[in-house]
Amino acid sequence: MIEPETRVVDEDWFPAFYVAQRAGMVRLAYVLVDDLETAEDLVQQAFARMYAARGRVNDPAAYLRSAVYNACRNHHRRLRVRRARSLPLPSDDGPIGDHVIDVVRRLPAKRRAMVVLRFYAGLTDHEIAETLGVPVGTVKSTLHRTLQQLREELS
Amino acid sequence: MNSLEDQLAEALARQGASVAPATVPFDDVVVRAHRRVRRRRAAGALGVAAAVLAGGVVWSAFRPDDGQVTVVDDPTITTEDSSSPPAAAGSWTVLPDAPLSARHTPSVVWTGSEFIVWGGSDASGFVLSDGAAYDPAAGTWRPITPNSWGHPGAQAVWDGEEMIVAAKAGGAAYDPVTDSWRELPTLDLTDGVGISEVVMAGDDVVAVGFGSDVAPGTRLWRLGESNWEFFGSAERVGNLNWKAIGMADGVAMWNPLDGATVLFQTGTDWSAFQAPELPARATLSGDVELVWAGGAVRAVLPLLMDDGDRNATMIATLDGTAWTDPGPTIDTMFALTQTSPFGDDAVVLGGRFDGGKDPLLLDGETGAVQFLADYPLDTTIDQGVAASDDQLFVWGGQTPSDGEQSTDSSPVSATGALWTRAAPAATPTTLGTSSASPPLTGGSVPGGMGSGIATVSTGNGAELPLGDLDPQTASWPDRFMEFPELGPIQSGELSTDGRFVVLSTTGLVTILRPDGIVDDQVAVPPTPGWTPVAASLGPLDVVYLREAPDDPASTESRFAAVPLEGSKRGTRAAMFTTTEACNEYWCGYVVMQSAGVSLADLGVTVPDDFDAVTWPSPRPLVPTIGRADGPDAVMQVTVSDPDGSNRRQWNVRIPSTTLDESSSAGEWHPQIDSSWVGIASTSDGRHFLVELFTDRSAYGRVLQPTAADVYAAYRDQSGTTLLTFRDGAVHLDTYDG
Repeated sequence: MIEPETRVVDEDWFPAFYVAQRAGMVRLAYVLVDDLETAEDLVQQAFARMYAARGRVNDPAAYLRSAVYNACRNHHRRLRVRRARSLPLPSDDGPIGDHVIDVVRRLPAKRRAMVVLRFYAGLTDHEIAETLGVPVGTVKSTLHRTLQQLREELS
Repeated sequence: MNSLEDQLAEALARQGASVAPATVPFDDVVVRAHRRVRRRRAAGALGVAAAVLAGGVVWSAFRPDDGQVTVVDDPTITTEDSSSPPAAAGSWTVLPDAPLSARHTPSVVWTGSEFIVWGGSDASGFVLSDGAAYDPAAGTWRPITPNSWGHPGAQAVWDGEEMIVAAKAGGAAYDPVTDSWRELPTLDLTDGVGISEVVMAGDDVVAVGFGSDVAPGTRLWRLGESNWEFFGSAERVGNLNWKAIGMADGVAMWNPLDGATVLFQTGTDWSAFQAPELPARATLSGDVELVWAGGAVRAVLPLLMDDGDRNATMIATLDGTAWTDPGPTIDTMFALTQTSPFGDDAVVLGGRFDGGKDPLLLDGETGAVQFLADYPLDTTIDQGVAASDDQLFVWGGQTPSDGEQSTDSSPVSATGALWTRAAPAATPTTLGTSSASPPLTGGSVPGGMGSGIATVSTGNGAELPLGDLDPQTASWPDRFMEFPELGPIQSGELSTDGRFVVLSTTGLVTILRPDGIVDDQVAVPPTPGWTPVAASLGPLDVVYLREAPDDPASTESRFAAVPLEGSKRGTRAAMFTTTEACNEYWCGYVVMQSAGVSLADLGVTVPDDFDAVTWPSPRPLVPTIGRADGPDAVMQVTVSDPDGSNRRQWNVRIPSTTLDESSSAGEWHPQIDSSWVGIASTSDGRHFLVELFTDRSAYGRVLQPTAADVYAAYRDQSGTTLLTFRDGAVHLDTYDG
């Protein structure tokens, strides 16, 4: 994982960074949106956005994480609008059979993202807060409550 | 069985590993990035074409009498449905003084951790360019680097990284991480064109401009890498400010001329909708505000009802492609209104014709409205407003003259307030209630739900059993007993055999049977410099009495063991000087001096071989909850060195405004390694259940935001049990989860 501490000035780093990060980010997006084709597209969007802004990216890994999360969040928003307008959804979002995953999928989007970033991506509270753009305290309390809820639902 | 955390990690890892991402060459990223730039540039031309189409087709569908809103004969709601909204659950907190002068119409944005206040105008209309940032978690302000310019009508928006400020005179972006500004390109505003709003439309910063006689029409610009990209224009009659808000996929605007709502949806087209229907005998009487709430565009409409006899405010919802819900109406009118999204909800602020000042909260999910009661400021108009998901920030603004919703000569303010949502109210299940109501000072609750004995401490210091709780019937008999013959009571404790040990301040120890009959008594005369503080009944019928030195700086204690008559210990007794020490499981008293104290006054003999216990590994943490002097809860955390010496204590102030979320305010000692729960009470009568976690964070949950007195709490896996006094009775309540 490339995590330079200072501003990146050499643009040649981006292709290697793309190769190193892409598959992991697609899997992360897939865990967040449940559809591989959508996940692939969202991650490409995130890379494209990051590529356009690469001259002012200080922490590529953190930036990419946030970009992927924001793309997934916008995707969920669009789905919500389509549901509200009774428009056809792009994919079946029914249960997938894994009890734990089905329970996680039913969480509100931000809670689900926190669970995924903690237990799938292995991020710290601070990294989750940075990715989601929320205070660290919110991450701690929300994760605590979410785990309590999951514990009850899974017991 | 694996832990929940392990189950989650394994399940998510399985899910992630179940897919095989395709190999996509890097060129795809480059192509997409270039396409993205081209799409932005092309949007301007598309917007013009769309606007022409809209002007030719959509506009012609509007009523010809621009400036009037049609009154319908059969309104969906009637005036009988109007009602005064209830108060929303939450509270206001007045902010500390800001390092800013008084001003109105400052720009405010929420960054995720700070509310940034910038710009605005002072009472004379002088435009200001300084600002400050407020951290609600810490409750502190910091000045920010002033910008080099200020401009009337400057609009600001948070784009996720920077505060984007735009005005006719130019633009700048403030980065709170580096506390610095950078210049933005200047908008091409000529021929009297100005800016109404700057909004976020999805990921884009969009400026909404209004036209002039020379250059009529509404304009949209999108902030690009090096310029503002003109991408849309609506050739609409009139050049008034359009009220605009950003949406995930575009911009919604309200035309004040005819109430038409126009949406520009990125990648699709312009679309327009007629104004919402009004109730019968109602007319629109002022400016309309739009706000985004609950995934829909809402309009806030000030109305004159009943042919002008009554003021009201109506909130309408744009559901998909039409204003389908014309309600609710509220029996007061907001004028000179402003709105703010507030999480999934929205807030309406403004001058109210009924004299009230409380802003209005619109529930984005249900559409219901509530007042944010007890608004603590004088200002009602032109405040700077922004919100996080849980907190609404209001700063600065003006106070209109009585009876006039005008800003002429109105005083400007340098005050602010924060409204914090209450956590969803937990609903208690009452395990038992006692109508007996001695004055309480404390108590304890059963160790677990549904069984055990609760005790209460009465006004004279006695701790008395409240009764056995029958877990089958949840019945809790009234069993308060009074024992005036015991004199003033210092403390009491329930023994393991069901008897109760009461210590009088005179040193008299009384053993009570569960039916209230005095079983035994032992007198321990007071010693100068020492005060009896606790008595308990141990095995073999030995009373253990602890005395504390009157000197509060001393950590020593004295500890007497006094056998009752008939004790298997015989008539032996002892008194030792001790000091408190703890191991990793519990605290106790280490015998420091097996002094041959004569207990002749007690008529007992002091043995030389009385048991003494020491613990080699003192516990480092003794957290306690204290009552605060102010509205914030205070948690006291005490730690000591491994040998038990060098005690240090921290007062960790937990702002009550954030207690229902979390707080890591204060200094946390690295030795804090346990979780703990307790009650924190604030001086304004609120009570919180506070939990310490092993990651050195504090987490609070508001259990009883009402006026009930809370005396004790117990928490286990199944919930929290509280001993409270309210409505003239003692209650034992349990909260699930």
